[in-house]
Amino acid sequence: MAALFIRLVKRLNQVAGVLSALLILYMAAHILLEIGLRFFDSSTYVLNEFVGYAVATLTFTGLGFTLERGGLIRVDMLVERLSPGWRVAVDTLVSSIVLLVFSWLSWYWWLNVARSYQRGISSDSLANTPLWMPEGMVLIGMLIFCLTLLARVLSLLLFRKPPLYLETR
Amino acid sequence: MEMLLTTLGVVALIFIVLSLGTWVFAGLVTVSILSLFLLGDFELHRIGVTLTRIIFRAGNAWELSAIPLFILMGELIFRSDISERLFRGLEPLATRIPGGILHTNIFGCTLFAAVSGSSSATTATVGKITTRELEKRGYDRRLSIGSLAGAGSLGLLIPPSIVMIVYGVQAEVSISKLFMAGVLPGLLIACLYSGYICTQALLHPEKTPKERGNDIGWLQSLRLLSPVLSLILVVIGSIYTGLATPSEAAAVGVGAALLLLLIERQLNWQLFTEALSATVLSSVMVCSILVCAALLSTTVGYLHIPQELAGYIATLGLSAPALLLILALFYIVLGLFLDGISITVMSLPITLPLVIQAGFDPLWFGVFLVIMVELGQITPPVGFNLFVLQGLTGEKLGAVALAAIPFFLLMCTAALIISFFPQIVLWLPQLGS
Repeated sequence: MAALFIRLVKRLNQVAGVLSALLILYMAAHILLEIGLRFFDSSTYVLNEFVGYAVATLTFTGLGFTLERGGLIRVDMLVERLSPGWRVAVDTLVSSIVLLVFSWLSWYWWLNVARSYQRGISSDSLANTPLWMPEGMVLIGMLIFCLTLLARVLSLLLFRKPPLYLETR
Repeated sequence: MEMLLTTLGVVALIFIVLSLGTWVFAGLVTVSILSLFLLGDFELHRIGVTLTRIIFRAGNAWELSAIPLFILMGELIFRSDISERLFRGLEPLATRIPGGILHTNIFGCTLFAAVSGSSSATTATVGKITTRELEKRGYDRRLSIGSLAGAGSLGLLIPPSIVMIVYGVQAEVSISKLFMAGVLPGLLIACLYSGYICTQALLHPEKTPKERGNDIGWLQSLRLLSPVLSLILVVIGSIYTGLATPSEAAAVGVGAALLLLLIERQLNWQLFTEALSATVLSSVMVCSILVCAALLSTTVGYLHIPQELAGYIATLGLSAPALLLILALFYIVLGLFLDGISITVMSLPITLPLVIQAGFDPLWFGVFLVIMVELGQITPPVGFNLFVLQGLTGEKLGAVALAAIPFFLLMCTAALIISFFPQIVLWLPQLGS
């Protein structure tokens, strides 16, 4: 059951990773288009707004993907000196605390999204984007990150190692 | 007194949370929540509402798109044979001066820094070829590793530079001016390094084998350097002709790099996806720290730490040089344990008001800070250039760090020089405006 969940989260993060990569390509494309249009005294008029949403979304949708692959910086000098048993224990504790913090944060984020949706708040730009959409993208990223942390805690508790080193088919 | 306790409380929280091995970005969030709750007597509900608002404002910043895009450009070049050609193009030039092809480390990093925004990318890309070649030809290992560690960190000082973008956004200083301000100090450091290599080669001839360089002629040399030179021209050119802002120049760089690889038939699906995947990892790491640091800076603001600390320091009557010295020591100590982005974003809310109050130009301080961050890249136990070199050479971290010491000291000298002659930093941006 737990192994299945961990595997599902891995799959989910692959999808999120692809989405993040696409967002980076989109940023490049939109900015190049904008520069191109300048030669014709024209503009997409929404560069700052949309690329801004893309940056915010990228930051959060890529979190789980990056966490899984050990790409997020941490200060592990002290932890590395512990015995393997203690190291797993500290890692489990830290992962659980971060899971708690981000679940709590996601709840408040959800309140924001819900409020923007109910009140129909939109950006005061040409595009008039309903704000719940970009906010919702960030929420999805936060939730994927929480699931990734949950998978990590489970994996540490049950198999004594993070999902990265776990053989799952 | 109370202010001092609050400050110490926040510092202690940061120390405890980070030393447990918490990921830095999550540590910033945790410390912010705990500080507001424990030290600021905020209600949890109010903290939640405030923090989410700040996260969205900090993340929703299109200027930050330059970070993933400059990283992508570097990753694309790293996976091509451009660095190989860079080495062969610089070789004939380097063999004419004492120290021989050791100088390709310095020249290569200086040139590559002008297309790369990060120091580990610069070290990895140049070092991929030079560490192998220098060992094969019997150059002194310590000198070759040390010079690469030092020169690689120029990636941050010579534009474009990710740390400068981060500083510019946080300190509200023009990024294009910051970019200009970094050029001369970067060249100064490169000269110091090359000078040191020359002296070592003359004093200890056994460290650098005599060899005749392959005389390929300067035209051939220029042809080999042309990919890097054209990328520099396109990126820097697009900024200073006004075609693109510094943030937009990153997209121009990605476009140019892709075009270059396409023309040379090096672009394939595997290279492209590997580069993109590596880019996602590094950019999420940097952007998440940056966004979450906004929480910490708001938090210390709510707790009135910057103003009160600045007020307290003012009563000490420190002279400007004394303040600078204290800050330098502070940054060197932080650099032992933390990476550059974290140092910049965590310290600025406190140090910037102090520095401005003491009458320093924020533009100048940006360059000073970048040099401090570069020092942190080559000091153990946490120094990213050292890690990259450890991976490239298979040496122990201690050995790599030892080799870097002379170059660490030379960089300190450079920081001293720009403190006495701030015009080295300010002249070019003033000329531009």
